Amino acid sequence: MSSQDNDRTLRLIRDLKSGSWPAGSDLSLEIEKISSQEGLQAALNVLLRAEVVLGLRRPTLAVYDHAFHLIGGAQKYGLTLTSALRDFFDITIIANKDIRLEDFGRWYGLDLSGCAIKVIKIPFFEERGAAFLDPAFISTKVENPFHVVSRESGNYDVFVNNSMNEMVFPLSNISVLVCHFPERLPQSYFYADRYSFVVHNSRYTAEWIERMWKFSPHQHIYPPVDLEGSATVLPKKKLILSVARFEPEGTKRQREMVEAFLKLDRLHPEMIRGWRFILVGGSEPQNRYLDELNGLIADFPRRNVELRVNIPATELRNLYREASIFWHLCGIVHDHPSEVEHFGMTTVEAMQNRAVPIVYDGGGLREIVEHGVDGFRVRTKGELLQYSMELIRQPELIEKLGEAAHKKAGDFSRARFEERVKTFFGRILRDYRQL
Amino acid sequence: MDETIDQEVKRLKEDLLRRKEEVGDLRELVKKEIDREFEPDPMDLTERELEPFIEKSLTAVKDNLVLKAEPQILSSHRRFFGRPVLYFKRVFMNWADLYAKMILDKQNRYNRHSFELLKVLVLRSRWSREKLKELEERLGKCEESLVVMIKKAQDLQARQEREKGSADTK
Repeated sequence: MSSQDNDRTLRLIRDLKSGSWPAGSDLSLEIEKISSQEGLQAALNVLLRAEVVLGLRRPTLAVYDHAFHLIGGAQKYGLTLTSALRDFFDITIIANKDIRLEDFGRWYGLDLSGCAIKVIKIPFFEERGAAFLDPAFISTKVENPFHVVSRESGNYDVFVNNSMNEMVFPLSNISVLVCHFPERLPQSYFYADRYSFVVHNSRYTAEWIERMWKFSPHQHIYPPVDLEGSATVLPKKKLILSVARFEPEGTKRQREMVEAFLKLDRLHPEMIRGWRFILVGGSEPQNRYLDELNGLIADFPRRNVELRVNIPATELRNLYREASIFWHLCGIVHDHPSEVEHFGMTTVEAMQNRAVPIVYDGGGLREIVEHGVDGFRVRTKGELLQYSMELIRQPELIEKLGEAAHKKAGDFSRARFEERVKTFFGRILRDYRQL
Repeated sequence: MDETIDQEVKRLKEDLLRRKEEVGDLRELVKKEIDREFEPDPMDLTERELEPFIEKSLTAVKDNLVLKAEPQILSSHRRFFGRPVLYFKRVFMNWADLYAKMILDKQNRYNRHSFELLKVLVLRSRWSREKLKELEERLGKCEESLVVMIKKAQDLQARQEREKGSADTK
């Protein structure tokens, strides 16, 4: 829409609001003129905004994610955002596969009552029986299958695209793309730059948006992390913990961590006498990487390395409370920036429970852990062992850094997230209402 | 006007929503082209994307390696002078082709050599990468062992000093 057209639209709504709508003027003619010049959607957008400005209804917002039917950190981000905005908007959650509000409540412990769910199935993926709707399958040789969602986006005042899918063309008056990481270079059906605002989850993501998509995102909102332990500090156990999905490609680098622990155990067993290393994570039933890890630790006589797969949340919470040290090496070997942790939610979860993080020095983890202050950042497995041994030797250092880690983790709490979300969307809504 | 502004806005919106359902093409809905062509800059490629790009580029170079003069169909629109004009054109083209062929042969030889060189350079870069990776791994393993052994030596030294100290006090 040109600025002149925009002015005309604003004038029209202003006249309607002030009651100074010229006598004898025909609103339907004005709307028809906009429709014929700028398209039907532009005309609809004028009326949608007019309704909100005139106070005829509450503003509406739609949150979309093509992976809402799967459990994930990005989806938790989008739904926590939704939960925080329930007082501001009438909200519709748009998914591409069958899902219920109760599922979200069970998975993320979020109250989404009052929100509606709309499932828009995408024939292209349905016909292929795909459980995951991978945008990477789409090239210009086929019609953009996500346009059914694009069309729907134009029926709301605000459309939030929370998915790693830039193939949805936004039609609403205000559109927000939450970018968890720019996985693809601009190619077929790329519309990320067509959104009114792009929100990024870490400075690392922002840096790569600039490098890959050649524009700067607008708003930085860190993900919400809410695995805060009990107020009473429990005594820590001799436990090193790792929490990450067992990706079949091994991108979370569990193998490297197991190898490091086994080496320490082999070369200096007295050092880690009584210590255990537990790796927790989700996995698909058939996972060759997991089999490989099992093989690696099976031959080891001391049995102080354990893999725990798909465990319940309560068990995970207890492990976080008991752990003294938290290891996370995702990114230590990588050939694409997306293989480095974009943020590092599990690291914050560990810090919230006073476990000292030793993490790879790269990606979003740099924004979480301050080296030597609330944990350690390492570039090699050698450094991982060095700092781990320092901690093992000095329990008082674990206590000191654990306390600092706990304090730092407060920056990434759910309360802080909601505060940031409300400030950002509150500003957008104010401008939308005020003309 | 029989209806209030509120009612009119509502009615018009419903009408537009109904009409929107009938529009199949998104471009028609916004009255503009929404798709663009993107040519990725090779300098933006990540390490993971380099190998497929190299393969694709090598295939494209190979497909256009040998240049051939395209035969031209000669014709003339002149009614009476057409035939002599065509005759002279053909004589000139045959003469010029000799030179063009010489130049193209030279160019083709150059292309072939360049392509061979390119392939070898790609091969060398792959080997170097492999070797670098291997060295990195070996170095990493040495570093890990060294770090642990240093710590172990320090622990032993500390224990010895403690034992010596307690023996002295006895």
